[in-house]
Amino acid sequence: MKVYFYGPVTNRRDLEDDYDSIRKVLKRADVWLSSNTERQEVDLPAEERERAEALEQPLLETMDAIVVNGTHSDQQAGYLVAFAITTKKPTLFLYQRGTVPDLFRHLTAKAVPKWVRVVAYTDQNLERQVEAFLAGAAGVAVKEVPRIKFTLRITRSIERYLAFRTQNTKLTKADWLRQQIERLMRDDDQWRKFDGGKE
Amino acid sequence: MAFRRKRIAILFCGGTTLDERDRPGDTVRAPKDMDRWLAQMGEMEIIASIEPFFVYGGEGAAIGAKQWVQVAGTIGREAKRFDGFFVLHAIDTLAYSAAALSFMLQKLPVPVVMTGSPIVPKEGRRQTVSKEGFGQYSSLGVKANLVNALQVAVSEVAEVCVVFGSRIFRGSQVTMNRPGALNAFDSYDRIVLGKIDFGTKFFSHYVRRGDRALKVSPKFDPNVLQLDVQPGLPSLQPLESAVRSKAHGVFVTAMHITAIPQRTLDALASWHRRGVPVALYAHHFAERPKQLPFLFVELMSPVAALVKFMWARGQTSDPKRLQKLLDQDSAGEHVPPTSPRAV
Repeated sequence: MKVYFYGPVTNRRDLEDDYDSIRKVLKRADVWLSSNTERQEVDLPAEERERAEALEQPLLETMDAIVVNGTHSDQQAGYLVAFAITTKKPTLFLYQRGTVPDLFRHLTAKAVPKWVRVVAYTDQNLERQVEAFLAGAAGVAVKEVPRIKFTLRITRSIERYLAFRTQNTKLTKADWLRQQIERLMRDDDQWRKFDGGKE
Repeated sequence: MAFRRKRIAILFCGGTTLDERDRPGDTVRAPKDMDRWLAQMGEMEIIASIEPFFVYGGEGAAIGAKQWVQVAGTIGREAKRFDGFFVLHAIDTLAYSAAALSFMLQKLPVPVVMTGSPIVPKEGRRQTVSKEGFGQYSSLGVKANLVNALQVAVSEVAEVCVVFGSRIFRGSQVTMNRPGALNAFDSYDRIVLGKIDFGTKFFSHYVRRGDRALKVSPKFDPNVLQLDVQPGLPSLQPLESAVRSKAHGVFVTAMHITAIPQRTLDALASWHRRGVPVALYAHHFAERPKQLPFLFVELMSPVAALVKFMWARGQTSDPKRLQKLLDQDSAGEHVPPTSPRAV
């Protein structure tokens, strides 16, 4: 699962702490996190970036979900919410309880669709709110993200076969191979007995 | 701290169809359709405070100088009231209109952003963009493009731009891609003004918002005969009466000057001497033959060159002043002679 987390630039220590808490939960959940709050250039797997560029897709469209801390709303936060509404992207809009984000002046409760969750948080429940969103409020299954680089030398005929199997699909050759291995894992009784549900 | 939403004028000039089913409210064909259309795109009000203006709702291929001047006129009149302009336009002829606005609107203090829907309305004739890119979202992809383009209209750029997919193009350099391409547009020199990834990102060479007085030069002369010289071109005699009675200029494209037969050059020269300016276009002339009396247009896309000639002809009929206008880089349309160019 790929998540984009946005927090407007701020000099408020309390908001920066909140950004830290949100990032902690997202990293613990093993999602692929892209965020403006960590460094200038937002991280994405190279395959995803290449695929998006080939399809002329803005990178935001490739994200599975969006999390915005809109306590201190800015133009970009408004854009992300508008984008989420338009594209039906599961989105969590967080704001500190006791504040009223500027965004609400232009967004009535009626106009907020079910895939955009607007949540007032406190220090005590912030992490739980993000966990709940990831677990199911967004309606998106959490998938493992491939992080381990593995070099596999293949023959020319295998390469031709992979090209044949992935042409006219949205899959890369690596995606297709991962799918075949995951299928083998599911059907392998010996593996299931050995693994017994451990990571 | 409060952020102030910018005020954006949205001009409807075709290219508005939101859904392939083209239900009531999906397309703006007349002023009465605007409110219903805007209700479907209510989320745009989160980004900016929008005020609509109707310009045109008919066939995209019929858009020309009349609509260009209308759009420029609206922008000129309303420039002080708005923080940016968002022009929805039929994509078939958008590149021409983008070039036209680039020449007519100089010293822009705010952005003028153009885009359009690749979905053809019910009465339309053809599909111009591959379904693979936009098609995976169908109407959602179309709406996302509109939201992205509006975000550019509130950004810090102050140029005429075209937004489509993930790319932001300079209006004076945008060209149309082949039918069926993922992106309807490309940039003549293959360099884009910016891109849309998680927000808008501009590269170093763009004009920023500033306190400038907009200069509007809205005169166009559309009575220009276009001639594409190919091998085996017959005599130009059949065109004589058209040139004598109607044409205020002739725009000629050819692979090379040396590919134009002498009899064709002689006919063109006689028109030019009779007061019908003849402009030769090529990507680059290594040298301009002194024995040829014509005007030369180079270092820009064919679309920009044709439109610029029509615009320059609207400003003056004096050949020396015409050549000066064609040679100056009025709107960022010039590219270096060695730059890669879109075919």
